[in-house]
Amino acid sequence: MTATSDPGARPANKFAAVFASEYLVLGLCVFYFLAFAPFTEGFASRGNFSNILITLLPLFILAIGQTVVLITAGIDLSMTSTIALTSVVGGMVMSGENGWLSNNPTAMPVAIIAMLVVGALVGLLNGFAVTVLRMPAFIVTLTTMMFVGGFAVWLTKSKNIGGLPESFLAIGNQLWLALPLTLTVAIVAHVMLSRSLFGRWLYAVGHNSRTAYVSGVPVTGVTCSAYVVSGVCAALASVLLTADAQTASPVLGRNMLLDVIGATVIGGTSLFGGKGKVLWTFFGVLFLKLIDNSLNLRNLADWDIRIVKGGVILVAAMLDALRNRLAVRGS
Amino acid sequence: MDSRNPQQPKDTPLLELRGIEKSFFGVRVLKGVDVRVDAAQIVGLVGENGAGKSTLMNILGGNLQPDRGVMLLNEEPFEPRHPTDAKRLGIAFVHQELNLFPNLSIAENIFLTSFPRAGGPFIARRQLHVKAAELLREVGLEISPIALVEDLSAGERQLVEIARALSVSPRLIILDEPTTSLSTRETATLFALMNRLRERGLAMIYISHILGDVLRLCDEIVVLRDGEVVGNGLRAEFTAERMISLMVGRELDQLYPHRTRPDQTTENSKAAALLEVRGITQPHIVRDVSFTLNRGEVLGISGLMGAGRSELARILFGLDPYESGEILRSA
Repeated sequence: MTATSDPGARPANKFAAVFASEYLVLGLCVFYFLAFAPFTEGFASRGNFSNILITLLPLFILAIGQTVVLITAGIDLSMTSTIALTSVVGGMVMSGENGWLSNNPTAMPVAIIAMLVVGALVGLLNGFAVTVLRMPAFIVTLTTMMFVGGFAVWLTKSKNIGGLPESFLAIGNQLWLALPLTLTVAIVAHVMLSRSLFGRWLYAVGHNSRTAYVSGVPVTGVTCSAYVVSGVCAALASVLLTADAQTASPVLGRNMLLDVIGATVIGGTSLFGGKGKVLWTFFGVLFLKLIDNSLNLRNLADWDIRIVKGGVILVAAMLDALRNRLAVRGS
Repeated sequence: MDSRNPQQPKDTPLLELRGIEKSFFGVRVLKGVDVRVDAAQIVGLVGENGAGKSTLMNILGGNLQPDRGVMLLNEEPFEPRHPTDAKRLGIAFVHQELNLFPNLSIAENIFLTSFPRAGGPFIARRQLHVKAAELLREVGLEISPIALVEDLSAGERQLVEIARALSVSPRLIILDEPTTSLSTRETATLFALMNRLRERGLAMIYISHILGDVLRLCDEIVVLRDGEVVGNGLRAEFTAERMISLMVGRELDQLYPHRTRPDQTTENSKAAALLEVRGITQPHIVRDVSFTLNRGEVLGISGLMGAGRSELARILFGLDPYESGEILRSA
């Protein structure tokens, strides 16, 4: 506003602009790949690419759902339990051993629909508690994580369900089925976020839900829907993961939670809400998968990989907090 | 102005408030307020903090409901339950604290709840940008509607707020302290715009503490004190002195009764120093600020917006760093 305060603010904005660059994380991916490829045997091989891709797809779908919730300044910790529950429900419907629709030709589509419905219901429960009951998203989804996860184990008496139909298993190991499915989810999510009313309202709610309400945005419906989207994404990822594992399992995906939130935050979606893009999330997922994969190839122990991944996610969260502080000062 | 608002005879008001009463927890904030606003007129609303201006305008804007009294808009009962009701009936509110979303574009902010649609839930982006550009031209802002609001100055944001108010084709715009964070030039731009809007037949209610602006800009002036209208008439009937004495309920020469500082005579001022600031300097913020605060004193710090007043206070409280200087406090 005046000469005294301006010069101080300018360099800070430039500093922020570097971190806010859309392609920063993609650049890091390329840099990381080029730096590690010569020293990591098999990193650049064709077989490894398809391996990275097939494990990347379900994580990407999950991270898209998480992105939508994070944009509203919420968080969904229940995604991995939703994976387990929907996996179990799908198995109970379509298993050839003692499923409800055992060996029935409609078993597979009905099972997938049931999985999506269950995912949506978990999301609805989360959304209801966050909006109508005004509970903090962290506590709500932490408790649904425990409840839903426990429920999945109880349903199956802690056993895996095998005998899934061949047509279903194909989704997991055939890239030509899994890839278009994931791309469709990504494109729909991207168009929804950037060009639909619902999408733009998500950003408004995430920046300031009170102001959004006064402006006439249906805040309750928008926020609640974000959790439903997240639940459906968890169910879709569960389809891919269950088919890939070839069994429905009540502990499926239990180690993925930090990867999902980490990849989303690495991509640049803010934990403070109001900011995030599907493309950013893709870059984040890619970066995390590259780290994961390269360290695995170098035969590092599980805890070593965890230390590295945890460190990277911590740095990403710190950058997010820094960006947020600079933005607050700038305005 | 437009077909909806044909030449109104001067004797039928655009808006009439009769006997508006409102209490909060048994405290009567508005005690039967009558106000009348005609088309093509700017009504200045002045009063001390707590006089009831904001409550009255929040009732008009649909944020609050009155306990008693009637509001007539074009001689029809007007009972907004929510800000969107008021907006739909042609009453737009430009708040003191801007209700904009810095993470969205200018166009998205203007049309947040009235996006032009491209079928279904999708936004017609070209149409959105064309319509937004039209409104920006109207308020005299030459910036691309795609620009993010976070990149705009305070004055530009205020103009975007007004563009948003205009987007609903209002008959009445309420402006609550719109110049608080504007520079002199930005204020002049705003006033020129308000005069243009009046020529087009719009009515405005202008709330401000800057009485010179009110006298310069408004056709009629309403003075509120303790929830009652204590002065109401044409601008020519008012002077700044008369407004002040109406606002405070005393004659001007009694405004600042002489007080003697307690203890001044009995204590040595050097010994009574509570806080001593010596040469506080923080580059681009404050330079070489020194003062002493004695026991029993009220110390005023004045200066223009951005001169460093708040920044100095933040430094004194340890919220912001300083490069050199000393802050001494007596035990």
